[in-house]
Amino acid sequence: MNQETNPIILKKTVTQLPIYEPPNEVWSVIANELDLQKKLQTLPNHPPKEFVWETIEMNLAKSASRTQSSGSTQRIFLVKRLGIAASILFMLGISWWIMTDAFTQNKFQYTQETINAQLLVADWDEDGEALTQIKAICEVKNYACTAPEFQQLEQELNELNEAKSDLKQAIDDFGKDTQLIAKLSEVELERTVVLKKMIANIL
Amino acid sequence: MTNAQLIEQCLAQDRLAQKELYDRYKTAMYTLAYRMCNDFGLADEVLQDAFLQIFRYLHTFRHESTLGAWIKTIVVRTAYKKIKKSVSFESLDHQQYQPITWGNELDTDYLEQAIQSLAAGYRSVFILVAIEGYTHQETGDLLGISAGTSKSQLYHAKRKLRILLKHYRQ
Repeated sequence: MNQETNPIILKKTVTQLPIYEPPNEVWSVIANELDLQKKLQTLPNHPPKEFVWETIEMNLAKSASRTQSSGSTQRIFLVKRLGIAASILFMLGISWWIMTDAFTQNKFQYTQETINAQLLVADWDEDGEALTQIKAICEVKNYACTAPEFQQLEQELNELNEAKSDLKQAIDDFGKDTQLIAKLSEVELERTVVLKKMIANIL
Repeated sequence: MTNAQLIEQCLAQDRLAQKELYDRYKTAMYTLAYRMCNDFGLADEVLQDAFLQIFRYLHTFRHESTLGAWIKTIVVRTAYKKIKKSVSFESLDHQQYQPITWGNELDTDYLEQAIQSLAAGYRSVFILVAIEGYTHQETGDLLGISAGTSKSQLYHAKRKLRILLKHYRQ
């Protein structure tokens, strides 16, 4: 592929190519934007009215009582399952002990699980099913999805989606910075909470 | 002021330090942005967008490269986003490589004009490899192409340049 004669001539000429100065307006735009960002950070906070929390609390109490009745039956199943799992583990433990102690010279083995950041990020995108479910319910229960509460949650989800895509872009551009990944994980958790609330709201 | 001190002050949102950082790199980065976009208006936008990102994400700079190299990467990515729609890396026939012969002397102005008249794909690869000194692997990573594609694009860019320079001479 290096089929060039006199490549040094090109290299030499390239170093002599002209340079260009940006116009002063470029810095003015940057400085204005930085000023705006600074001002945006100092914008006053507006505490919500008391009734907002009261409404949230009321809804939380409602959903808690809804899940409580199904919770008791779930608990019985859980105890049974735990019992079975414990017996299996006990039997596996005994057979492992017999195998290793009787037939080998007391060798110790261990495995170490490492978290693949790539997989972690990939997992975060697997909430398509929940969204499809919400869309399907909305088609049937249109009134529930046009309710202000639901629309507020939808708006919240859109904002979180935007924040997620901004963060993913930043991770692509600036590498897997721990702060960015932590922030992405935080946003993803918030999305999950909002999605759950959306589903609870229309069921 | 050293770059480390400058970074520290920029992180503290010191406007004078931010201007100083901008002044240190503006000419090199503007020249690079202009060469990639082939348009001064777009180069203005690239410089604005890139420096806003630089100040926003300066806390992520880990000193794994020089500050200049880090800034350059951001400028290249920002510029490439602006021209991406007009770039196509067509697959090129690897069998048809012919030697390129550069004359004993090349005119700088002609070369500048010839570079700017290259198709965006050829131009981007030529600028990144031949002028900015990126490897084919790094160029491939920046432009989302393979190192092999970068190599063949460079070859064809040089061939096209050679033809253009012959025309300019006549």
